[in-house]
Order: sequence, then C-alpha cells, then structure tokens
Amino acid sequence: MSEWLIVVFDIVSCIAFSAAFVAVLAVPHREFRSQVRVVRIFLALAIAVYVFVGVSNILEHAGITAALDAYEDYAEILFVPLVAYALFAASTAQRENDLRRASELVRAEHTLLTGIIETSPGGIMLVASSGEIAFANDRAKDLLGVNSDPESGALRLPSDLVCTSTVSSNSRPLDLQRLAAGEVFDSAVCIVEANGRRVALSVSASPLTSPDGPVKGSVVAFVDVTEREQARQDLLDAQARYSLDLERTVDERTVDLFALNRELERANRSKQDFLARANHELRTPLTAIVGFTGTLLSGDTGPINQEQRTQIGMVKESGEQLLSLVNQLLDMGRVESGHAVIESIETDLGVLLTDVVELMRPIAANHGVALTVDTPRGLMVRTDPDLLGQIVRNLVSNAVKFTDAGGTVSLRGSADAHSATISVTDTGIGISADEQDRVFEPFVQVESAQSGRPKGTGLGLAICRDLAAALGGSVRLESTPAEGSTFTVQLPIGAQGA
Amino acid sequence: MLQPSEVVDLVIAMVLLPLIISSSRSVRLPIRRLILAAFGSILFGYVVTILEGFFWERVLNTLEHAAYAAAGIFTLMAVLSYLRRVVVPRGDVQ
Repeated sequence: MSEWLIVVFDIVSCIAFSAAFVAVLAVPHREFRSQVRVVRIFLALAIAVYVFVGVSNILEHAGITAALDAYEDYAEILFVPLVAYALFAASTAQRENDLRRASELVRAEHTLLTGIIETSPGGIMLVASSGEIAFANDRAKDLLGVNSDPESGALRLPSDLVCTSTVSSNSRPLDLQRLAAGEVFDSAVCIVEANGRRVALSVSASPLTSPDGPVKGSVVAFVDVTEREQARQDLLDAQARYSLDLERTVDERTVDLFALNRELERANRSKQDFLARANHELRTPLTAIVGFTGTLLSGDTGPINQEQRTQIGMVKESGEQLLSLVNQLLDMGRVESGHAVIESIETDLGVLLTDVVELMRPIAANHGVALTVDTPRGLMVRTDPDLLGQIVRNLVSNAVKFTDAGGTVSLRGSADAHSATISVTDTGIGISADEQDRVFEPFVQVESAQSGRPKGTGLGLAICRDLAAALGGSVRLESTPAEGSTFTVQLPIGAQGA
Repeated sequence: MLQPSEVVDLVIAMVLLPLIISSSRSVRLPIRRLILAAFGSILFGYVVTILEGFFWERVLNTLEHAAYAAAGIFTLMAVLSYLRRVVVPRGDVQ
C-alpha cells in the first residue's frame, strides 16, 4: 500500500517539476535579459534534478527498474548548490539592475541640472571650502570675467575685481573666503567693477553642507540688476529734484499766503471798524426815532389825529425794523469775527426754555399763537446760556412769525450722555424741500412765506447756525409745506465751542 | 539504511542555507515564499531520508516522497505565478 502511495507522490512530484521545467525554459519573458539568462539555466537545472529523481523513484517504487537509483545521489547533491547559485546570481543581477537605473537617473538629473544652469539668465558659481571656484556657468564667467589659470586650469576671479555693497561696507558678497566659510547672502546688491566693466549684481549665496559634516563651500547665484538699479537711482534723483521744487514752490506760496493773510487781516479790521462805527452812528439816531415816535404815539406830547398816528406808526415800525437789522448785523459780525466771548456754565435747560417762552409769550399772543414748553426743570447741561438763549429766541421768533393765528409753537428739550437737543416745532406754513437748504444763508428770505407777513432781515437763522457752530453744535430743519417745521439744535454737553 | 550521500546532501544544504536565504531576500519577488517553501520541503525530505535509516522506515520514507511532491507543487506554483506577472506576447520579446 505504502509503495503505491509513494509512487503516487513521485508521479505528482515528477509532473510538477517537469511542468515547471518546461515553463522556465519555454516561455519568453522580459525579465530574462542577457545578464540573468544564467539564472534561468541554473534554475532549470535545479528543477531538472528533481524531474530525474522523480522518474527514478517512479521506476524504482513501481518495481520496473532500479537502474537509475545509482545516479540519483549524484544528481541530488547538485540541487542545493544549483539553487543557491541561481538565487545568488539573481540577487546580483537585481543589484546590478538597481545600480544601472540609479546611474541612469543620476545622469538624467545631471543633464537636466546642467541644462538649467547653462541656460540660466543668472550667473551660478560653486565655491569650494578651500576658497577656489569649483564651477562657474557661462553667464557667471561673462558677468564677473572669471578666467582659467593657463597651467592648472583652475577658475579664478579677475585680480582687479572690486565688489562694493550698496547697503553696507561690511557686506562683501563676492569674497571667496567668506563664501567658502558658508556665509549666507540674500539678494545682496553690489556694484562690481572688473575688466573695465561696471555692473550691479544681486547676489544670493547659501552654504553647501552635509548632514553630519562641516560646510563644504557655497552655491552662489547672481543676476545683473544694472538696469533696475539705474532706474532706481534715476527715480531717487527725480524724487530729490521734485522735493526741492516742491519745497521751493511751498516757500513761495507760503510767502504769498502770508502777504494775502496780512491783506485779509487789514480788510477785516477795516470791516470791523466800519461796522462798529456804522452801527454806533445808526443805532443812536434809530433809538431816538423809535423812542420819540413812541412818545408821540402815546399822546404825552399832545393830541395827534388818526392820519398822523398812522404815519408815525409806520415811521416807528420802520425804525424798529432798522434797529433790529442793526442789532443782528452786530451779532453776526461778532460771531464771524470770533470776538464772541463764549462761556461754559452749568445751565438748567428747562429754566432757560421757560424763560424764553415767557419772554416771547406777548409777541406770540399778538399773533394769536400758543407757546408751549415740554422740558423738565433740573435738566442740567454745560453751555453758554446767553448764546443758547439767543438761538432759541431767534427760532421761536421765526416760528411765531410764520405760524397763522390759532397755531402752536412747541419747545422741547432733552439730553443724553453726549448731547443736548432742543427742538422748536410749529404748525406754520412750512418750507418746501428745495428752499430748506437755503434758509440758513444770510439775507435769504423764503419767497413763498412773504405774502402778508412782516418782512424779516433774513439774518435770524444764519445767526442761529453760526452761534450753534460756535458752541460746537448744529441746527437742522425738518419741514413739510402747509403742515409745519421743526428746527432742532444739537449741542455737545460741556463743549465750549469755537 | 543510512547512506553517506544523504548526509552530504544535508550538510551542503545547511552550509548553503544562509546564502540562499540572504540572496532570496534581495530578490524582490512576491513568489519568494513559494520558492522558500519548495526549498524547505526538499530539506525536510533530506532530514526524513536520514531519519528513516534509524526508525519508522516506511512512514518516514513515505513522508520523504510526499515532501518531494509538495516541493514540486510549490515550484510549479512559483513558476506559474511568476510567469503570470511577467509573460509577454511572443512578438514583444526582446
């Protein structure tokens, strides 16, 4: 039984080894190049040993013949050396193949790098740790005038080469000893003079180091930046020239401005003198006219008839208008000249608005207009009460003037942490949108508001605007024709103004 | 019956074993394990061939031939696996 089992094993062994033998020898494949054909041969021989052993065993154990058994031992003894040699040859071929591929890769990279270096628009040099130039591309030779020693063939810089840094006298980017020591330069610009040529170079250098060793020198790259440096120098020169021109122009203009300023000051003084004199000369007779016409109208100096009363009344009214105009002109001049004395006093806004309302109430009553105030007493703000009172009086007077009988003028004051707000709202005729921008201009009268109303001076709102500005605030208007207007004064709390 | 040639086979195999293992390591083939398995089977056959001279002759003799059969199968598998990877059409042979 075991003999037949052995025969079966031998048949399996013989067939398997035979098939492997045929496959190794017969099938072409690209791995078996010339240098490893020997591997295939030795592998085939090793397999052939066990083909032979298998055949011998089959014949012996099947009881056919044992004639081959004597040669079996000789064949078997070859097997292990054949396998060992085949594997060793394959290993050697593998290493050879790897080396060949690495060598090809290095050659390809070398060709690529050489191409890049030779076609580079910049100069590239390799400085060895001994301070000698180990390599220089054509551009480097051209820019620096690098030449070869006729005897040794070593590359060297021209003896008359001078490299001057544009930044620091200590920086010498083309000093071979510094480069040999591995000094780093990053776009250091220097002026190089050699062989009678002068060029500006931007030099960068980085040390060549091995992972575990000292500096082996430097790789130096430089580009010709002569045009760029020339343009930069031209730009700096132009800038310097422009600065000088500008300074000269500014000086001339300053002299002109000083002269003009003196002229303006003279003119302003003349205007102030004129205003002061004219106002004095006008107010005195106007006060007399208003006073005496009042006396005549009171009847203290004797009876006057109705016609005389009418005409004297017209004289008195015209006098009062002229006096008002003069007073407002004085205020305007005072504010514009900056001679208005502005105080900063803790002021109760409620009291101030109430006082204004009480002052204006008779005038409002004459027009049939109701005056209301909605401000709590004790609302303290820091401002100039006289100027603020004048602003509010002007606004209330203006509102009363353009509000029909039966209408209302309301005052409201409020304050927060930063500002105080006073609004004067009337139920008057309102101002159209296109006229709202103009009402704060001096001597501007709203055309649509004039029919049947007392003519103003056109200075009240302009004075309000200037006084508010003097206190550091502003006046704004919101109005709807035929419904009314709201003038809002906003002042910073505690601001002293201009 | 112990034969000197069988001992010589084993000695040679043991001497060359380090060389075979180190060489097979540097050969980057995925079939390396199959080759080593085939070689191991042969070595096993050598060992049992010697041992059958001392005891269990029939059993160990059968095991020896079984080891050779296994070696043959491993070798065929290794060669076929290798050829499946690298075989090229005949017209493309270099």
